[in-house]
Amino acid sequence: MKEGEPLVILFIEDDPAHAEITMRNFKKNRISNTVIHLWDGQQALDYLFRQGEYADPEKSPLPHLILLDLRLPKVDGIEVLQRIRSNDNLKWIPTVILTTSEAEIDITKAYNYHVNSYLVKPLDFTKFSNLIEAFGFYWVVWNKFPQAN
Amino acid sequence: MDLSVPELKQQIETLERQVETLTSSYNECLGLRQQNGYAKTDEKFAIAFRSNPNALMLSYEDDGTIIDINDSFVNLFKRKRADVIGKSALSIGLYDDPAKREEIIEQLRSNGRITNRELKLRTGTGDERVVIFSTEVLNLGDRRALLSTLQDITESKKTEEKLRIEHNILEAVVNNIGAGFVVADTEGNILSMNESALKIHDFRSEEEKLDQLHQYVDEFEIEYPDGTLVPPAKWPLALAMKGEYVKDYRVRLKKRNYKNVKYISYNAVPVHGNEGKPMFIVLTLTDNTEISRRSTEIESILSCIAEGVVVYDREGHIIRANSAAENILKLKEPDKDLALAERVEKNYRVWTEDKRLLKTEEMPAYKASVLGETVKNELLLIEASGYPKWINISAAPLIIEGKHAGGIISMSDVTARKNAEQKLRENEEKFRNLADNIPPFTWMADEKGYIFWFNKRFFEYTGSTPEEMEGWGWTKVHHPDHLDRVMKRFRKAIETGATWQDTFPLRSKDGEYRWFLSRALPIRDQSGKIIRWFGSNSDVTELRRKEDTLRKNEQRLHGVFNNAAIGIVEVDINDRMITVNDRACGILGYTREELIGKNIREITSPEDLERTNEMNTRLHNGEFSIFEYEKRYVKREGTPICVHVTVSAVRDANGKHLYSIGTFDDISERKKAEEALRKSERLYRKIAGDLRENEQRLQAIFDYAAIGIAEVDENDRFVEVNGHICDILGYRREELLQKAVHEITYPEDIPHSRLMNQKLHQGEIDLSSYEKRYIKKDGSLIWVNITISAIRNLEGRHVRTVRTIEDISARKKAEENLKQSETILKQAGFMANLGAWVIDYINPEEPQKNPLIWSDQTYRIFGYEPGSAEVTNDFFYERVVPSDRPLVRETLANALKERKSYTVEHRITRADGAERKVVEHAEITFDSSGNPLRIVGAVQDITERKLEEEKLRESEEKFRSLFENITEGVALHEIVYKDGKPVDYRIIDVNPAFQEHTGYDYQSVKGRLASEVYNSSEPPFLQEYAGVAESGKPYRFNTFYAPIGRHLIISAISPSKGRFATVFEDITEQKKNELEIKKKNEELTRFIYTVSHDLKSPLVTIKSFTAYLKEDIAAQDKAGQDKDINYIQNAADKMGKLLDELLELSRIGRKEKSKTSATLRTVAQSAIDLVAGRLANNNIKVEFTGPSVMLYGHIERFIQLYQNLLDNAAKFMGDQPRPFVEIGAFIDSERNNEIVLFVRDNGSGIDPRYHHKIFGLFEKMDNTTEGTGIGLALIKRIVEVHGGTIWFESEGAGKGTTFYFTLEGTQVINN
Repeated sequence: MKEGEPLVILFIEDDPAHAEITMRNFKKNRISNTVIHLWDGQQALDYLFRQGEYADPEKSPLPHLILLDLRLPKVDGIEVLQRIRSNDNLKWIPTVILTTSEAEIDITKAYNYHVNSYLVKPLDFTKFSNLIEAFGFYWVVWNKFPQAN
Repeated sequence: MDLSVPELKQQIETLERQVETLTSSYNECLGLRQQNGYAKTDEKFAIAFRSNPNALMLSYEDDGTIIDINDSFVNLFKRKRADVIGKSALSIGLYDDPAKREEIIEQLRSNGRITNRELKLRTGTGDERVVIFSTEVLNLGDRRALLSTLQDITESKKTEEKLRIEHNILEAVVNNIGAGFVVADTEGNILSMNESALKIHDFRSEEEKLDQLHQYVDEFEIEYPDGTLVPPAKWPLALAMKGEYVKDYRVRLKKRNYKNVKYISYNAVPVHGNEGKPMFIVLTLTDNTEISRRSTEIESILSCIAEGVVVYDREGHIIRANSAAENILKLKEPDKDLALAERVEKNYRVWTEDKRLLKTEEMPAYKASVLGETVKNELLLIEASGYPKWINISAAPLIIEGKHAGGIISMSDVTARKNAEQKLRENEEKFRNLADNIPPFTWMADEKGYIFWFNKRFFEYTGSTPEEMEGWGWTKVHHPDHLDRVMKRFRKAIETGATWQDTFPLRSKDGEYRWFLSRALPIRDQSGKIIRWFGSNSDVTELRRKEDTLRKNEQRLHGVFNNAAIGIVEVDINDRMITVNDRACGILGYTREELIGKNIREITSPEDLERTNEMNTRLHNGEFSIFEYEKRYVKREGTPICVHVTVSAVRDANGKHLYSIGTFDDISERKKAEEALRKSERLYRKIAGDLRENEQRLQAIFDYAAIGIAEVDENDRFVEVNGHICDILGYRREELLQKAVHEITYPEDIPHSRLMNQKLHQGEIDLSSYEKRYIKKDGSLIWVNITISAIRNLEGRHVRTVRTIEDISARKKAEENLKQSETILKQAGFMANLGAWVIDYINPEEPQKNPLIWSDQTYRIFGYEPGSAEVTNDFFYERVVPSDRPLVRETLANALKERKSYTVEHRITRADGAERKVVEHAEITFDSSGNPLRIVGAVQDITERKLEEEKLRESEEKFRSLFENITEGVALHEIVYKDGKPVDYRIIDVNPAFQEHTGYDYQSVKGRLASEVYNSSEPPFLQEYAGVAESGKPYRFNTFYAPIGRHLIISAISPSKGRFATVFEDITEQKKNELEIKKKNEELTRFIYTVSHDLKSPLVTIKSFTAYLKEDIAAQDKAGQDKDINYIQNAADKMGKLLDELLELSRIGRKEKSKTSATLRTVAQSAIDLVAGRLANNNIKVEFTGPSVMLYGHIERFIQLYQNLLDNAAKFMGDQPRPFVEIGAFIDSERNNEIVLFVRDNGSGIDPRYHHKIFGLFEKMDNTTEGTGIGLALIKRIVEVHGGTIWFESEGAGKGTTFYFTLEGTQVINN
């Protein structure tokens, strides 16, 4: 990506409440980048593979970072992750899982498909807020992304 | 001078004649002198007198003065003429006894003459002479003179004396020796016979003797040895009368109407007179009865027994052989000059039992006659034509008068027995082998539960010996904690005859306990009496381990709940607590017992009572199904605590409130959410408990008896080994872990191991089992039976193998030992223990009184010292076992009636009380009129042979019935070769269980080719099976047999070369169980997942928005507050619903009312009524199609099922202008005519991409649709609880959906 270019974050979350909480925390922590929120796994795939309404690369730019929930309607998060990782154009995109699931199997699976980071939504509101803050700092401030191809 | 009596007589006569001639010539002389002149006559007389060869003496009668004597007198009496003439005879001492002269004179005066009087006179030298004295009176002028002739008979007298003695001796001898003498004349008059002849003719005294030949012909019969009558003209005497000499004329002489037969050899000599005509006949009769009887006996014994007997000299030339021997050995006349061993060799190839060709010097005949050894053997003789014959042979040196004279052989053709035995043994071996090798332990017990046999696997596993285990010895390998129960149940089963089943641990030889599912079933005879029990023990350790893992999971979760920081209570409609969790107790300070049954109001703080009542009432009335609020409880010690309570109502399908679930927590605790999480875990526990319940009902599965266990990676290296394998191989664990398997494999066995590994690796098989050799650390080899199973990862790639290794070197060694002892046994083996007996049938009226004679060996067979008992028929019958007596009597009676020989097998009681089995062959001799004369029998002790046969037969029968009754399918095959290659196999025998496992009729497949039966050009697993049949190494694999949908483990073993048996273990149930367990584990995982995600999710929301709410309240942001509250409410609702439905789901299948029946129509209609509003709103029409069916089960659940399906259909109707739902059923011919129910809609359908997620818990296709996503999971659970399956068809979005399902017990209603 080019210097100064805003970071595009693809955020996939089916639960409206959780989406709201996350978005609010983004705002609160001044992560003022483009956050594209999608509701299920199928939508995410359509977006990434530029299907249907997401065919236009202008309107639907490839994200720099994907924040993905696991338990999603239609196509679940693991499958989305797998598809991203098995596509040459997409596999580089840093993908972070954000989910309520602490199940070992989910964590193992996610890492098996080369997830970059696995975050569990904390029950405690403050902790949730801190998590998003840390996430913001790490990925937006500290992390270096590759130059766009 | 030796003269016979007749000669003597003749001489005397001659003498008499001479005296007469002399006298007449003297008288003639006298007359001549008187007539023709004295001188001349006198001269003549003088010459006659002097030259007479007899001694003559002329003397005066009155005083005995001797007038003259002749020269013979001088010579005879050694007296000179001068000394005698003129003197009296008395004076010269001529008379031995002077009185004799007086007698002579007296006699002369009365008779005028004396002739042939014997006199003793003395010679001049005083010797005594015996003379024949004759005298005539002469008149010499006026004085009477005596002319005496004296013939010296002294020598004759001596001879006569000697002869008389000899005659007396001869007479005594003639009368006392066996030979009879008969003298007859040529007219057939019997002149005399001696004592023996009288005896032979059964005359008691000389007076009874018959005098004429024709009388003998009337009274006696003479038969040729063959029993035909000798015509009178051919009688020995008749032949002799015609001048024939009769020599050794052997006949049987029998008095008419008298049983006693004499075997007589006649010799007859006609005595010829001077004219060459026979004058009289001397017959000599030799009574051969005894000898004939003996030889006939021996002949009879020899001929009536099947035993062949050959006696031969040291050169091997046959002295004699009976017909049986000739039949057996096929001895040919032209080979007569060869030795016996060579003759046998010429006709046969002779093999030993262990299949070795016999050399000449090893022939029994050779050994006995040349080497002087005693040999007992069973040999296989193969004719040039290839015809085989089994001979039981005993050979011993023939010792005659202490000298080794040759050999004697007794032999019998035992081909039939051998073949039968062989067949029986093969069968027995075959079945035993099968029983020994099938994977589960099998055993047999008698009707009292006494176990007399276990299969090999059992011993291999327990490391015990048959001696230790026999009877009740098995208790030694049981776990002491289980033994009492096991014994009690087992004994009860034996008592009642009910099938026995139990599961218990058994100790392996390593001391490890493994679990076994054990069953025993009774085998009954035709009358229904239990004769045996068959049992099996299957290793279910693995299954239990799985169960255990599950149990541990459950316990772990249980632990989680117990540590959960959320209180959960189940409350009935009267607000009484039914169940409480630990945490609830903890928060409230009560024990569980105290809380249960308490009304919720009793623990509610008085300030909150009113509100509590109100909320509960509203919940009860159905105003809402969930509510939450903060309230205060009063702890046991009286202090109030602030709690956050969520209460949700559980309702039935009609909406009736059944009970409530309350969750609460001390809200001062900041861990509310986590508690809620645990609350859901509590629910999980209930469900998991349900699973446990099901599992306990699972049937057991087999596993292989594992001894040494090793885990081996894909590079053939050991990654884990147990202690036993280290012991087997002599390596330490650390050493073994450094090794690759091939490094310790015996090089010859590497290729096979590689092949098997490859097959495993490529997934061809999941399991292989074979025998191989390992090299122990000390370099020695060890035979092991190895079972390898592949462990595959998720992609099915083979990653590791687990091997179980059994040390079978002991078995291999035992097999060798067994063979050795068998050989020794055989050598010691079979004795031709043959005795003989004879009954003389002389008393037909009272046959019991006929004399019976036993040979020494017969005595021994009956357990007596030879001759130590007086043997009678009664004595014999007393020795026969009572129940066999009628058989023996009848057999004999029948043989007598039908005039034939007989054979009878019966039991006897020996002198020592032992019972023995004998076989008797007897031959009966009959006379020409068919009356029995004699019975000659041979008796042989066959106890050992019979016992062996019996035992074998019994054992064969046992194993055969095991084969018939065993639950494993077993099939026996024979490989069919073409051009030396296996091309097919033939099914020889299969058992009934085979039919069950394969679906093929077990009777009709026997004898058919596999290619034919399985309808394929190469029958299944041909190469593998051929390998087993050739190498004898067992082979074991898993397979799925599609035609009947069964999972089978096939163990192929080879009972004999070229043959193999397959043992089918049906593991379909196990597979099913495994699958079920797997499914349940998946479900479990799903629940854990649900707990950690779906239930947590609303909590996160509630927590966060509660915080936002606080912020918004502080900021007085009204809009924000509403939004926050809205989120909180939604999340709480959602959570409540989730909990409800999870509960609902967990309740399915337990705590249900009893099952009832209802028509599909009724059920579906109830469901339609429940969702009528929704259907109406969407304008959905519902139709019924198909046959009327009756459902059976929990009807409420069925209504729920249809309600959910209808709900689902309504939900996903999409934009369908004419929405309809079809409810129906049909009979599915592809599913065994099972009734399939269905619900079809023409709604939006299901995208094929999401088909796999449909029945998942909390899976929703769409966030916009209402519901928690539990509906289909619920449906599926209802179907499964009712033994059915559910699936659906949908061609995709917009094409509608049909849900199909089956329910156990569904039936078509026939009107």
